[in-house]
Amino acid sequence: MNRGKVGGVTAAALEQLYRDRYPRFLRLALAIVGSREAAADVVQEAFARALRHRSELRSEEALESWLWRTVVNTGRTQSKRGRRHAGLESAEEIASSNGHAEPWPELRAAVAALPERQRQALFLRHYADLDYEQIGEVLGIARGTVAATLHTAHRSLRGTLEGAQR
Amino acid sequence: MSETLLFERLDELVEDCSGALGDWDEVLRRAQVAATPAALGRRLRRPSRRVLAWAVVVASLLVILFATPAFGLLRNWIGRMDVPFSGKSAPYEAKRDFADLSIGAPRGMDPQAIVSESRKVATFKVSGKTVVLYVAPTRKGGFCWSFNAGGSCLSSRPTARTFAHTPRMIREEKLWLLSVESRFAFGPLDKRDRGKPRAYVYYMPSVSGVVLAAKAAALRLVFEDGSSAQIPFVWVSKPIDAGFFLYGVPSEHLRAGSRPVSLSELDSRGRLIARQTFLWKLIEREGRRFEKQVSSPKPSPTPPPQPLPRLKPPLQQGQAKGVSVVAGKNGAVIIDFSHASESVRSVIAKGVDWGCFSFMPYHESDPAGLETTLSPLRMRGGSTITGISTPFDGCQVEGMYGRRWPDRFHSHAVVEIALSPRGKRYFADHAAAADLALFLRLRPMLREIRRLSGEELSAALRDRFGSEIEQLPSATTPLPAGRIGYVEHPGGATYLEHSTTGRRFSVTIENGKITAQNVRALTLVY
Repeated sequence: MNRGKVGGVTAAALEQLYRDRYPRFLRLALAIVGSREAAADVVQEAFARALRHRSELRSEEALESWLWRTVVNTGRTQSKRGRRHAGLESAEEIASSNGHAEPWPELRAAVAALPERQRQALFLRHYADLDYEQIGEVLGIARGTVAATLHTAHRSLRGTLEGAQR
Repeated sequence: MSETLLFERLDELVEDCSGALGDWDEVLRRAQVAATPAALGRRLRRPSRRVLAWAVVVASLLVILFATPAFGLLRNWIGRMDVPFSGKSAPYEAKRDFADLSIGAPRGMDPQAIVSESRKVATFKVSGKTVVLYVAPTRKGGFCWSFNAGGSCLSSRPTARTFAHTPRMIREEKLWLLSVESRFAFGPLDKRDRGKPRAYVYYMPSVSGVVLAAKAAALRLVFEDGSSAQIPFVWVSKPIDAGFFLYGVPSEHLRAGSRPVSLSELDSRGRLIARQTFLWKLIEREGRRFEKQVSSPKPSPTPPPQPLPRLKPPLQQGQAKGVSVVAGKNGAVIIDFSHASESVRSVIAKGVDWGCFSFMPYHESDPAGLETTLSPLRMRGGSTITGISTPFDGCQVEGMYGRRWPDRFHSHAVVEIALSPRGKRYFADHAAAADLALFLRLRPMLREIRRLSGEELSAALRDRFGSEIEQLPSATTPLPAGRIGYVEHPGGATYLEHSTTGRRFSVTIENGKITAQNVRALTLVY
């Protein structure tokens, strides 16, 4: 059966996805917003949105990509709205944070300085543990572009870190 | 730098969330609340210009009132503020506090808070600090509440019996008011005591509690000098259906002669619903008894051995250093020291604390555990650990001695019995984090060395610790597990220790202050 034509996803499918992937969604959100509380809020909101709009989603296959994208977007919005915590998108706050910053400040700063597309691809690869195909679906780019984007990001981070060590 | 190393570093940047459990009920609630036609209708309807104009006027008035001393007046005038339960979901930490109320609860006493329904309902200002009130309903129709941390519960709707345990220094006239807090401090209480001999002072720094009468409209605190103050409270709608208050007693009412003496609950016509009277003579008598106990402690008699609990299969078994544990599915655990090694025997002579732990919801990275004290030289003991999910991830025995770096057990517990691979990793990571934390808590580090930087810092560390700690050219330099290293940078240094699991712990200190660390989740030293 072509589920894409039928349209919509069930709440049970969403719940299953939530239970199976929650730690990965949470970690991706945590990378973006920097606080566990805010990250949990982002994931809850993304799934609540999916529940509300489940009849508009075209298939269960598309659902997962849609959710990853929603988590990225909701996280970015939340991160911009209240920069109280130092997510990897706001490394400039690390120096002034007191007792809550993470290790490897140079790397954090380098990640924060990456162009947005590279940073999103990096987060989806390392914290959401998605493969190139899935990252392409989430970001709406070809698999080859994902590979090139990640290659550039990794090279840039290595360069920054090697410079910092010298 | 190799790609593998880069990937490892990237992995360490963001906390591992494996094992984290979400709250699907809350997702459903969010989706349903926003999806009801009535709610959508309200959201989409555009307010008229007239309504908007009124809203601006009212908002301006509120801003003026709250921003000026008139706020006090407004607060007194309000007295009771009704808030809906459908507020913001409580944050993870507050939910964990409510979940933890079940840990160690005796059979039948588990409050059974519905943690996923925890809400942030109000904030109070006490002595210039903002305190947040969180509430959660319980499965038996009661509720739990907490002001910032910790918390208490009335697991079912209160009856006369609920109040049977009210401290006898508070006289209850009716049953619809719960409070309060009294303390004693070894002076000085404030600058008026400067130069006087130090003595115990009995005072009430704050008054907090629960209002249970739905018709309550005001709370009045009366002081020994005859003056009084109105205490604002928030009433939270069903399923909580109770009011909460937290009031910082003004400094002029801390001393004998002007302390709070009664708290009254009044209805909208000012009629008395309930009253609590604070019997300061009894409070002071209790305090003096405690003082005596502190100044000349009497050794408490060794309790008689308790019968060992019954273990429900399937059983978990483990042993280390000759100490063995057997745990049942029901949380019952029996520990046996009969074959303990010499190093363990030297510690158990003073008595030990032992317990088992599990990683469970709200304790995904720091496990939840409960410890029991085993009297000196007792070779076998048992306990039923309630509120902790089974199977356990590990059990440990802690000696009753002060921890100081370098610790005699290398910052491990005296006995560590891993019952799962995760438990084993936890022991290794905890030891590395605790070791680094203990090192930084050493007196010379606290008092002097950690304020230094540059060559002065290196020289001080060399002089004091020699080759015990290692200067590293960069934070990425390999460091053997169990050794402490440091990397200098302007204004201070980053201190590092690696666990045998590969996990890296670091604490960055700049100008004497910790500016970054990742050890706190695993060690209570900080």
